Amino acid sequence: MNATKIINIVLLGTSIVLILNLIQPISTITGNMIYTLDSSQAQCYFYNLNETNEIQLDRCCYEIQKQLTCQSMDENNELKCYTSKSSERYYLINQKAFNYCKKEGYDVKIK
Amino acid sequence: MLKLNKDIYLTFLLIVIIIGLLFLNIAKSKPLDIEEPKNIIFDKSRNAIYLNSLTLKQKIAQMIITYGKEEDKDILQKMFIGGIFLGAKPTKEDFIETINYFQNGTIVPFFVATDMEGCGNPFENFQDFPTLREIETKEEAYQVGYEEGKLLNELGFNINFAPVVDLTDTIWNCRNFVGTPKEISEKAINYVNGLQENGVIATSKHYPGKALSIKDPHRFITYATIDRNDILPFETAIENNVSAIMISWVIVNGSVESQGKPSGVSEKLVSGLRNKFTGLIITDEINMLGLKSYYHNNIDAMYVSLFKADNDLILNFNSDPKELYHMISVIENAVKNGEISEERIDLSVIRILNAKGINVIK
Repeated sequence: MNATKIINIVLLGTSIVLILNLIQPISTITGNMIYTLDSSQAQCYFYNLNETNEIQLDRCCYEIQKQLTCQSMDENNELKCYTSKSSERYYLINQKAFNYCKKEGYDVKIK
Repeated sequence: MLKLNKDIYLTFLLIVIIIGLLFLNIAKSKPLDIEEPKNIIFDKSRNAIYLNSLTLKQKIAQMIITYGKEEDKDILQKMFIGGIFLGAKPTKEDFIETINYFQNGTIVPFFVATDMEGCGNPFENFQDFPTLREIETKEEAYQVGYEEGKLLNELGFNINFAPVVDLTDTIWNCRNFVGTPKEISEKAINYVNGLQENGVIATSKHYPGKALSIKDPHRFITYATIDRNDILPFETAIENNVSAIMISWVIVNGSVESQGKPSGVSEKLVSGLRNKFTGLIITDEINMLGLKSYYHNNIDAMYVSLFKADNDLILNFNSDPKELYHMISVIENAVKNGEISEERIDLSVIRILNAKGINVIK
């Protein structure tokens, strides 16, 4: 394969990326891909004192956005989202749920 | 030789295409270029605005409340967006600073809203409040409403998206009052009075009820049968001058019918509420799948339906101001092609401006 052919392949690749970016920002496409490739189930739980309740994913993102921050927990790659660190009411979400909220454009904060 | 030429021609062609695409990408990523709203005529001596000085886009923008990201302040002010919603912050000072930052330079102040239901208290880092569920008496409800209203007013908030007056909350188990429908209605109206005595708009939600009793967290479009008891807290709130009511996305039948549509886009349901309520009608957040799934992601059609129904304020927390601008443009076109009347938009804008304490001169 000569140099011109290699250059053309690179240019073609670049054109495709630019076309895709016109349709949808690459960051969104990447976000969608990361979310799709993650085979785990998106999960969101609300801890209310001693109770645990599963929350719909879209409602979860809406609520997570209102929290002060989400903090990574060591175990199970989970995130705890709260309005105060000492709060007895908080959300526990997995990475897949966090990625979903991010890709949907919610302003979720991470510590 | 001929083959080499072909490859080189292709290289040039691709370079030209890439340059073209680069220009298109740059044009697309350019920030919104909106002029300062210098056209708006505001008479300070009469604290009044001339409605006809607003463009149609500005009127539509005034009907939107979005998530308040500080980096978007200028563009939200230029678009003449009606309000911002703020979530939790570490300190009182952070709230005051942020709200002052947003309000500084506005012709008409933003509505500044939050969800202060106690269960997920955005001020928890510096002030505790009981959840609505923990409130035992109507006297206590008034006191909590009063204390919350005092704090909200001190920080610069003017709308609270509370109280929840749904009779049950089987999802969070802390967001609603408990008791008989009559007790819930009494607690709610006492809480509303406490808030509103401090100059904060209270919002009874989620009309017409049963929004927090959906059992399956994986189902997005939800259905409920509404009975007289579900409506009672809203009727009591209306009789006692609650300033705002928020509508859910639940598809309802029974005492209130939404014609198979999510409540907030049902013209019949919203008009029915409008006939008995003169305050602000606010939608729940529009990116929720209970609404979006119904429209199979045909977002433009969804936008038109939201404004066609008699809603005054639309909650759109999409973090991209370009999407807000797109929504405004879609509605502007719908008005221009006669699908939505400008008079209907004007009525909402007048209600909004009046609720902000501003007189309107037609």
